[in-house]
Amino acid sequence: MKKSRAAAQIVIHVILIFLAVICLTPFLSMISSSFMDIRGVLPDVPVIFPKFPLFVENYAKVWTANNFSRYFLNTLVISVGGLVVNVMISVSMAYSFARFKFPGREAIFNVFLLTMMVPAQLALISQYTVLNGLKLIDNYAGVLLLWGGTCVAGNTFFYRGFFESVPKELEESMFLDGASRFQVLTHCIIPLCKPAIGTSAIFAFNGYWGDLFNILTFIKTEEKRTLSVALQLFRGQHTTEYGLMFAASVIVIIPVIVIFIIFQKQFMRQGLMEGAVKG
Amino acid sequence: MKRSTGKWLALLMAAVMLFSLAACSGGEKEAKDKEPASTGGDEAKGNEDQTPAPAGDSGLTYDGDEVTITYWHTHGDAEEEVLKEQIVPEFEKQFPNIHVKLVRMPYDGLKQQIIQGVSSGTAPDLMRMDIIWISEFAKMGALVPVDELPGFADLKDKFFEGPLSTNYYDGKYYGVPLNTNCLGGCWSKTLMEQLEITELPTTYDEVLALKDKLKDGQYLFSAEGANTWALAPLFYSLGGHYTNEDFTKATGYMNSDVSVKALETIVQWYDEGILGPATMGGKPDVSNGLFRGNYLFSYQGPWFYTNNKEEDIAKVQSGMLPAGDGGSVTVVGGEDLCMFNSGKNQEAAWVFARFLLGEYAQKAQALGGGRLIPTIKEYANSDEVMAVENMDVYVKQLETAISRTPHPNWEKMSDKLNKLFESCLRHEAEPKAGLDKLAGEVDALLAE
Amino acid sequence: MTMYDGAQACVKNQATEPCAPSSGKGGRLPVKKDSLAVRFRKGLRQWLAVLPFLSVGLVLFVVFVLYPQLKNIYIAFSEYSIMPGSENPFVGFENFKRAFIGIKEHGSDAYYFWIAFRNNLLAVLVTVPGQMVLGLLVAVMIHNLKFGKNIYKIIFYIAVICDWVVVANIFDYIFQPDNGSLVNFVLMKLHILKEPLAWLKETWTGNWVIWIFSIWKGFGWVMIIYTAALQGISKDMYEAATIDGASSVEKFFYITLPSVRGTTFYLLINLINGAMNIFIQVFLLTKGDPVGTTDVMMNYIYTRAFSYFEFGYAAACGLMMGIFVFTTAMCLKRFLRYGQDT
Repeated sequence: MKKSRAAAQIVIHVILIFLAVICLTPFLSMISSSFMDIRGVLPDVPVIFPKFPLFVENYAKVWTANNFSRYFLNTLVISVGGLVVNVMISVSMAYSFARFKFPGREAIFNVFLLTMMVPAQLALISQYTVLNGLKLIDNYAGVLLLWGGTCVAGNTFFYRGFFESVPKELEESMFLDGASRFQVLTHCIIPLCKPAIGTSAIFAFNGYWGDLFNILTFIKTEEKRTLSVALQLFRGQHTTEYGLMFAASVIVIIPVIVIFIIFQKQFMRQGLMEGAVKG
Repeated sequence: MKRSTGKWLALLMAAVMLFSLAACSGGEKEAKDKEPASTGGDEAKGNEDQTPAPAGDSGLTYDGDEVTITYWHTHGDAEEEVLKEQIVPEFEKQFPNIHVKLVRMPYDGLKQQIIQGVSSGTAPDLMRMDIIWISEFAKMGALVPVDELPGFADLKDKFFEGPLSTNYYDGKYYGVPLNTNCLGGCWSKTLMEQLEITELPTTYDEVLALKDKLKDGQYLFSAEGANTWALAPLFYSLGGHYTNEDFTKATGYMNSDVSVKALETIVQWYDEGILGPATMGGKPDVSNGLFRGNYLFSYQGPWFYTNNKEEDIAKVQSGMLPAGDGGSVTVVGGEDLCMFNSGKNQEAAWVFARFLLGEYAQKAQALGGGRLIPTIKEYANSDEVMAVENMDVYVKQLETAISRTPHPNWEKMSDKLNKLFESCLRHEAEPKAGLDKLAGEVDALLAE
Repeated sequence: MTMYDGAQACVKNQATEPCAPSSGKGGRLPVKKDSLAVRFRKGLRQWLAVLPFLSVGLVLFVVFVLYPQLKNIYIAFSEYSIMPGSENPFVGFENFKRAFIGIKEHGSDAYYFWIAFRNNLLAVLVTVPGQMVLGLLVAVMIHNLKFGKNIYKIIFYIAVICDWVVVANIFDYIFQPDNGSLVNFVLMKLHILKEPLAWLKETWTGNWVIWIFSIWKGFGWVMIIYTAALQGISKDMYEAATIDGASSVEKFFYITLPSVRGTTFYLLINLINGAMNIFIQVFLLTKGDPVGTTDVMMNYIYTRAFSYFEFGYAAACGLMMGIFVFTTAMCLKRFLRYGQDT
């Protein structure tokens, strides 16, 4: 019995490692290529492992060219800002739908659902008109408001179930102690739903970190742009400079991965669903 | 409860404000201490000694208020460096009242950005735009006609005719050509050696005569794609036409006997392995094929020689394209300068536009990293510019360059033609039937 | 990329409680009928109570999501020009008709519309089961591991959190047509291919690259959601089954699968929505080549609007798309919930 279990464990590991190799090879190839001088012609043999000596000029060039270091900072500022706005709005929205009764609640909720399904490509034009009217073009505040607005439907939908699954008795005892609605939200619901909020927050952060179209559309000054726009500049009209582009890509994705690894324990271990129920 | 929600809201608003403030102040600071030089861009450096002396008096004047104009462009790294470090500083020195805000746009999705700007009246003051888009935006009513602007009448005669014509729409000019290019011949020295030729063949017949000497995996030439741009030199050189000369009619031109014959020949050559597989995106791709001697020649723009490594470029040479029944024809590419109706600083923008067309700027871009071909004949033919590698070939090739149909519906026509070219090469469509049908559709598009 | 993020955003919703609307209906049944005035005042009071929490989000939603979408409906029925101050004549259903006239005729608008639509349906058929099955299997395997769970989770999740543009560039690179590209090289070494393929230039290889890309990037997310759901299944059930002599396969089908049904439904809706909204893959990899046969709706709409300036037609296509996805989701919900109840 025990032996067969051990064997099963090994088999699982082998399968997972095989899958992991498939999953990671493209990334490895990208990292290795970013250390090569690739201009015009692509290498004859695929680059999987880095070739020594490493060609670090790509990184030096990327970091100095096109305001890249500046963009890095911009991206960080606006992604964190977006994250804060996103969480605040989504949590209070979801709380409204989970714990308040008011006429039209389900109707509004269904409108949320519907808007999530209609392709949003042409919305950009109207959104632009609105922000332009508010004089918020070329201003991070405009982008943050826009992100705040577009996250409402999906996140309300996502959080509502979690919030509703928090036992009402907990809240009622807090109310008896004289707590306000706001205090209940911050001291009871948010802590209990941390895993769910964490999951969605990481997603939101990634989305904002890599947002290309909104930034390109609403931010008009070169100095205020973000990494994804800079990355796009390496795809030229006539050629793509793979070496440079991959060096830039590595710089772009490393922070995201690092942040994910740091915070993954917060939500992955506890498990998304039960976190709320157990509380 | 009221108070706590207030706090909630205040916090949210504060966060929003904070970030926007941080963003604004950051932006300004950056703009102020913009440092002039960054390292890198060896190509531009290598040419520094050739940079023309700063123009003394360009004959331009501006006595308006102090303004900042926004200029959108899609220059590559090397070209941007010339713009940032030579042209704009020189301009701002001569016109202290005009500041230029450069914005480099990514090429993918560029049109959407322009539309966004046009629809809300926030388009840039001046833009360097692909020549095939001018008439579309002119039709939309987004562009300023330049006919009446000061200096245009003088400039008009100095331009190469092909590039200038791309700005013409419905009786008026809506822009000025900034730089031009065309597809020229890029010949593989490797394969020339193997075939033991020293002189470049001048006709397709001469090229075809070399077919028997090829080894396995070698082709005579290849285009970079089956579309109206990459295949145009071949299609036109074989006598084909997209439309009549006034761009008003396709029937009788696009589906004329010569055009049908041209397309049939292309298909036949592709089948016989004369025209290489890169035409349909196959391997070897054009660059590799040229460097390694799989293709004798290919259709390439001047950018090809700066986008590849020096040791690879040493394996090829530029030269005229061979001639077919229609001559040695190629297509005009390049960019035009245009101003948007919504622009608030049109006067200053026009001054900058004319400065970009002046001797200093035109020559700087020609000698600099991007080796852009001037659109003003005099500068293109000047000794310094002619001395730039490959320049003579391209300027000569430009003499027989046709402009792709400058028409608001060009993009739609082009897409249809691209699809037809591809279908024919895949034998999913017949050239004759396909062109006949398409000519009718294109007539309708042209008449719109 | 925003557009896809829209889809991804909806991807994270409603994990525990898939049947909100009907429960709401039940909640609204009044115990006894109040007069209109009383009910109105009560409603007003309720709104005032919720407003502090609701207002900011709702205003932003109306301004940035609802208003643009309502305007889209208007655009879809007009011949729309984006020039400020231009007349936008009302054209009735003209724009909608264009998607249906001449479907069989090679080269017509409708022809390419339906190819794009077909590709979306195929993408649903391939990528949704692909991600679900792979995600679930990996989740079950990881769940049964003694050590190394987190490492695997992180590895499979990296693709999920990476920027779409970055990943698209990598795929563009490893699927290049020459011998030296990773995929061609490996497949030739394994003697699966005789000569290199121009993956992105042929209809079906191009489509497969798009689908594999979607699966590769998406299954990690399915895995994460499933591992979370698996943790919620009580161990007692498995122990009881073991005592009854059930095999691992039987346990999987009779305990695991039914237990994660709620999650499965949630994933299904979101993955379908994701597959219908494929965009970046096509926009950056194939552009719909060759001859529009790898096109998808989102790219089709994008091209129509921003290359051809046919905003009315693009909006009409978008609207039809939205209605189709919404109806499908609703039907699925009915269907699956029906199964749950019985």
